Amino acid sequence: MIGRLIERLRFAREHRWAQRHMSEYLDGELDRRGRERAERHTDECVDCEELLASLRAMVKTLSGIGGEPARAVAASVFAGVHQRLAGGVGDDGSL
Amino acid sequence: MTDLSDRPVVDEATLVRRAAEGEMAAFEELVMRHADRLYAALRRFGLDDGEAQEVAQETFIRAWRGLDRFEGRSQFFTWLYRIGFNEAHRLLGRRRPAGTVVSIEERTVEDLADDAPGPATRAEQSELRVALSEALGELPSALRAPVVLRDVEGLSTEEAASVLELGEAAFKSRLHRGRMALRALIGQGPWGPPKPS
Repeated sequence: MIGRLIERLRFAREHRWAQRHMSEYLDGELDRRGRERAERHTDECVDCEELLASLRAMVKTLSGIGGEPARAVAASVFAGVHQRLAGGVGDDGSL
Repeated sequence: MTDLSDRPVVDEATLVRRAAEGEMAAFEELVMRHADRLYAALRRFGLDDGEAQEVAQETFIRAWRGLDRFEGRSQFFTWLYRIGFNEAHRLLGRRRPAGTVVSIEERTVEDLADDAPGPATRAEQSELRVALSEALGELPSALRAPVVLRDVEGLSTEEAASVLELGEAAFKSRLHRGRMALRALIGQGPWGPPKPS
């Protein structure tokens, strides 16, 4: 009985820790002990395993957004900057 | 404007130094190197086309005036992002909250994890990226910025934390909260928490 209670408390503590550190695990920013701790918990926790898989897929899709071609605006931005600087724009952006 | 196509490639530190000395051609090249990327990041941060161009212009004007204070401790584009995102925060703060919450139909994580997608999957992923972009716009800007910089723009944790002028621990915490909020916002989608049975 006491053994099961202790085990539940341990699981709950590890669950809270894993939920807080899942992004760091995903980004490879935990040290070896942290990585092993996260992996031990996700091995035994279906919720955290699903959270990790879904975050991993979401971050992968987000990186695809960054790879999409952006509009070329550099020339018009410079033209605007040059015009405003030549026109003596004020510190608050006023002309 | 100057034709840059027949010029030798000059390293960025030299361009920054020359621009700080008042050489407009060097500054022009810095603008040409970074404006598209900054504009794209500002769009992904939630600004519309006109706002993003306006903020990009303002960013470079502030950069031009502040070049002598740029100490080179961070990369030039990181410094630009910091100026640009601060401007964008101010602009967004004056706006009313964004519109409706995005919901998309459920798809499996396995579909998304496919490394060599076929045409149908590519179309689906494209649709998912659009939905995710829209959902990003629903996040509070304090949580959206870390996600845009780290996950969309691909900056390192150190660079992104520097842009937002946060310590790394605070940045990591905010990034995680942003990802979790985005996952919750997508709700019925493939990254969301399981539906209650």
